[in-house]
Amino acid sequence: MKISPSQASTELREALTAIVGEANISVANLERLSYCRDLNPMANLATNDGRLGPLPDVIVWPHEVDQVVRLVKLAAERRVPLIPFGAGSGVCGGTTPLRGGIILDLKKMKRILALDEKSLAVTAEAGIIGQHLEMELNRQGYTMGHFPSSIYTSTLGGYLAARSAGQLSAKYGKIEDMVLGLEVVLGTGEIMRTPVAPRASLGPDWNQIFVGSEGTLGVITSATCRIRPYPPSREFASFVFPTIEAGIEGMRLLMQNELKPAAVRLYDELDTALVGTGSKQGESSESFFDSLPISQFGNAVKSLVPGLVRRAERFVGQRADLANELQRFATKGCLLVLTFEGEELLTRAEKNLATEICEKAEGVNKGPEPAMRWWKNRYHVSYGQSKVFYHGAFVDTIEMATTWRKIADLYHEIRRAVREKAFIMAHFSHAYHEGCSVYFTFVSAGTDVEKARQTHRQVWDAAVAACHRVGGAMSHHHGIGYTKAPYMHEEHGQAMRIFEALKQEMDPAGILNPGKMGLS
Amino acid sequence: MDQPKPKKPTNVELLNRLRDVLGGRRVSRALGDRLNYSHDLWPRSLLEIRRGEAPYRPDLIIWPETTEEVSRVLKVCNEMRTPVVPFGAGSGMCGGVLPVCGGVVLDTKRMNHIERISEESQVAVCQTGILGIHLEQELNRRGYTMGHFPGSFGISTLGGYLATRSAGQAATMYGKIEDMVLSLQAVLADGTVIHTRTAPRRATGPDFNHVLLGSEGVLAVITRAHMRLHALPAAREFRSAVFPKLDNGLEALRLMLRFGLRPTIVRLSDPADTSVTMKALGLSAQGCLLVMVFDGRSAQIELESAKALEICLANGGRDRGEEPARHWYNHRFAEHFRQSPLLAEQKMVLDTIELAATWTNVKPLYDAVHKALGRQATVLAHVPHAYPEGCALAFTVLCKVTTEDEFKRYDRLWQTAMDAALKNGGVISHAHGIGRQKVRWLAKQLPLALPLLQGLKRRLDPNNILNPGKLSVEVECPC
Repeated sequence: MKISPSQASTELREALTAIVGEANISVANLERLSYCRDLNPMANLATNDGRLGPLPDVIVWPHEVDQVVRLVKLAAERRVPLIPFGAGSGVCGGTTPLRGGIILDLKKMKRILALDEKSLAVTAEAGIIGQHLEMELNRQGYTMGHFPSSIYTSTLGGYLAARSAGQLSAKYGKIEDMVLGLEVVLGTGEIMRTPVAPRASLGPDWNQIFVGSEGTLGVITSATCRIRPYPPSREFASFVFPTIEAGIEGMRLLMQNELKPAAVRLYDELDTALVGTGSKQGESSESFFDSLPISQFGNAVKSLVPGLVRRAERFVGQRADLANELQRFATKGCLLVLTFEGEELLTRAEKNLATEICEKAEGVNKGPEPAMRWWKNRYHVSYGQSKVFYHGAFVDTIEMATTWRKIADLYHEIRRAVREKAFIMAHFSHAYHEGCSVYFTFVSAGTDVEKARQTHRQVWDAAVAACHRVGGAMSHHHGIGYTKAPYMHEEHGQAMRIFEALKQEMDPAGILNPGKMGLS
Repeated sequence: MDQPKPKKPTNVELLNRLRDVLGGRRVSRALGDRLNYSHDLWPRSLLEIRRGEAPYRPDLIIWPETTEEVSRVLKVCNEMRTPVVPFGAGSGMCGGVLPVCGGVVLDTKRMNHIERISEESQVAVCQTGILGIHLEQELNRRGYTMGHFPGSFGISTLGGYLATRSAGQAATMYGKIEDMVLSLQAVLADGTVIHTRTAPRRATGPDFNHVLLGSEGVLAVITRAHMRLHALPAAREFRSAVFPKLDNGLEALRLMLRFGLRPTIVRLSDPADTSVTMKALGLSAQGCLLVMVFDGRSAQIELESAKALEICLANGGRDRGEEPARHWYNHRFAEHFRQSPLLAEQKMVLDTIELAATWTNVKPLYDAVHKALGRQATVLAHVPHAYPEGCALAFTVLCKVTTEDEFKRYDRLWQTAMDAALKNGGVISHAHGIGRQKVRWLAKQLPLALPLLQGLKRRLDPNNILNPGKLSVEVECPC
């Protein structure tokens, strides 16, 4: 494999070294390779094929905001791209250095700066790993309530930059619901610090402008976020609904009765069939189903529909529609798992009311067991997927959101649009008063990487077109990066003018994470 | 105040072109209309009016009825470099709609249709000129509430709420207006219509709703909104307590919200507010009165209100039963209307200064602002809304003045309050917005905000026609 040499001039390197010190800069190929991609599946596939995407020229690790200011100013003066980087677990190519330049890894800015117990707020630097922040909060008797499945390999800054969601979003909200204040270094090198208050009326909300900007408007260097007391009690409940529509209706009624469950997850029939029957621990398997997000229960599939599974595996890629026919055999209904957490007085009452509502809505009470099992395995989800890639296939996820009125349509339309090209299943994992998100996992393959790439693009084109036809947001919490950038104008129309204007004001040199999010 | 007084004769071409779009009856240049639309309820403007002064006057008032008409009139005004001030019902308290450069006042009140109610998603799609009370009444008729009850309820519009980030009495439960919005339709200065996407949450870039929310008419005219609804509650509980000191009451509120209780309304008065405001409403109490309202299913609110009371008692509160809260609830809008005769009277100024802070900062903030203002005026304070992280704080100030010193004393009250707020961890507005009134202190609280906003405005509204002179320290009028 040939690696193109770093384009960073000696002079640039010296200037960078003067800011961060010799120990915090690298132009080594090993590092440049490590930072050239995130976990977007097409980059994985290309890497397996020995193809390397664009590489950064240099990686720097600042320790404090003043260094970030100097780095940004330097990059702006020299018109060198600068890409803020957390832990690289994004799945949309958000940190890919499309035009080379400097990777600004924030992981050494990882201090917890303040814990305001009275006001339930924590201030931390953006490079802290989610799990580290959560563990420290737990130690002090608090939780942030943000549990993305990437929690071990993702940072606070990454959450904010991409509008991340955690598994308990129904209670704690997404990251944008948690943010109280930000410190951001703009592309001009100016520092913006937003005042911390529960609410304010000070013009537009700058927090909500930087959140989701994916490094294109500024470098988020620290944030103040809402926290809650560590929950003294936790309750679990599970229900099986006869159809996906009935399950959606159950979720809607829960949320519109002003309940605040912590986790709300509804699996479609196939997902339920894979989840529901349980598995024998420690048994290994070569099936690609084992690599699916519900892989911990994957062996169960074989007892469910033995012949079809093997046939489906062979046909996936060429005949994904056949695999989708599995759905017909999955007649176990749709599983809804619920958890409640907080003060026992409230969680018990909430669980009782939730049970009453679900049972009225055709849900069959399955007791706490399935929900507890999900809870135990809730982080396994993301780690099984990599195996798929060794089978010459690929797996990706599509997460969209819309209102209750449209959610079943969105689900069916996406499945219809994608089913000929990929094996697809879904769950509904983030519910709100007025709607919810739907999370599709799709698996497909190509005879070579180029074919796989084409299929992947076709799946996305079809899915996004279906989303825009039905109405909804094309991403609920993974963000845009460059893989979804081509759809941004379709998504926002003329409202993109606001984004373009913000970009020109905040990053006049155009150095911050260029080529992303459909910005010109 | 150092604003220029522009004078621009009504342009016949402008008049004719606007009449082409709207017809003769929805364009006015009558003096009566021009005077009525020359101010909002900023007490400083009211001082001017009672002196017989009206320093700013629009040239024309127009009443478009559709987004398309708004788009067409903005195109005309943009071509003719004419200022356009979007106007709801004029109940703002910060001079946000003052036509400081003259021009056209675009009254949105004829855009008052509820276009659709989705019962399944519990979302209403409304034009923004609808009065809050009309929207709520129609929703109630259908079994829903939006949960937004500002004191100006009967004389304010949805668009005004959105443009200023308004809060209602039930913000503790339902949030402020920015928490209720799903998506917006708005018209840019050149007539371009933009829509934000309707979804419960998204990760598709910055939240453009939050650029428009609070933008006070300087970036776009908001014409339509998707708003979240809630089913009308099945039951309601009232609870009241009095605390010997404000600290006790604040602590009780903080602990309730920390526990996870969700009262619909909490209102905590300081001793002066208890003995003046609450007395004026017919409630006699001493100390710090807390009134609470809980809405929801009866089993749940019984549980929650009992727990809330328990927390009050554990923090030095005494149970005052249901009656004070119920009485306040039934008279809650009278509170605001009782103030107006005071202002109409000569030799008196009256205003409300509302701030927000975290729980850690709120008591020092209260003490500092109260002490500073107390030297100049009678000060009543209350907590109108509370959140798990902190609360809002509203100071009602009134003092006697003379015709000679009334502006000086009025301005000094604000200077004093804002200085104390900035020094003591307060944000300078929780829900009233900035307008002409607070822009100087916004420049101190968030120094980069104004230059960024004006930069953004130059790109979206290069001729500076939309509400010029707002969210900007300098007043620059389009030429």
